[in-house]
Amino acid sequence: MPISPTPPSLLLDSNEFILGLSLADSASAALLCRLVERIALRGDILVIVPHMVEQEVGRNLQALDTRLPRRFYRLLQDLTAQVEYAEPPGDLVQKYRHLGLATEDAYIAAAAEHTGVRYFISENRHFLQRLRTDAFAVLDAATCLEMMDRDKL
Amino acid sequence: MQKAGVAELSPEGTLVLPAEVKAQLADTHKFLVIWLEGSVLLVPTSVPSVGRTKIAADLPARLRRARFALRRLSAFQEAIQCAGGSQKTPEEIMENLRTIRRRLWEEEYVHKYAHISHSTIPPAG
Repeated sequence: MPISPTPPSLLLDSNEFILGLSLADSASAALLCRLVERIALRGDILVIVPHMVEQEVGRNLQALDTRLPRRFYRLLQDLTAQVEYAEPPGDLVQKYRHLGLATEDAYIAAAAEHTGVRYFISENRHFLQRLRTDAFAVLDAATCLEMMDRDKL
Repeated sequence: MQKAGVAELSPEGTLVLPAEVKAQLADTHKFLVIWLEGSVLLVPTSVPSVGRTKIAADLPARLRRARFALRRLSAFQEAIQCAGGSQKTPEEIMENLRTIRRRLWEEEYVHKYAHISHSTIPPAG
């Protein structure tokens, strides 16, 4: 049974973290800033991070400097992010496989549906262009920021 | 913060507050203006009623938390820059992440989903 978080919930893909942390002038960086600030001030948004995304970001940072993953966990704390360890059932992964995603991407999409998030935030064009589902909305960081500006999120 | 609303700025520079807010702040004429990363906060400088005192008491702690968290994020970005993380293009970063995801999938996840078809990544969109 999927869990349905009550506040607006969004799942952040690994590219939002790495682009946002590496490229200061990117929309992903602006989104991380906005989320950190909003969660500290209002706490009215729920950030979900699948375990696989946590692992990907960790590996990426570890390759740069072994001290960086520790800072990532502090960022997750500042975002009051919920790391999701529950694995989606195989038929849900298969569903997204049939929608044209690579199996590993299908797993992340299935994790988004399984967790019950409302928004899936990613810069991955496979998700942005191919993923059409009623289960959640797929947005890039710039669109997510626009929605926050217009109080739609 | 329990509620949020919209106030309009008139062409003359007057901030038009919603009636409910106006009633609550009837005797407040000065606001402290705080610029944050993505917003501007107006904090009443005088807070005579219990309700407003509660809001004002809570706000500094939240502001402090926001400031520290933003500072930590900024320091994190600098540390990544120092480690050479910002030398890659967005395309290179995305490609690297795709490789990590594929490898991670094969190492730790694929055996749990053995019944799913595992053909290669579909053609780039």
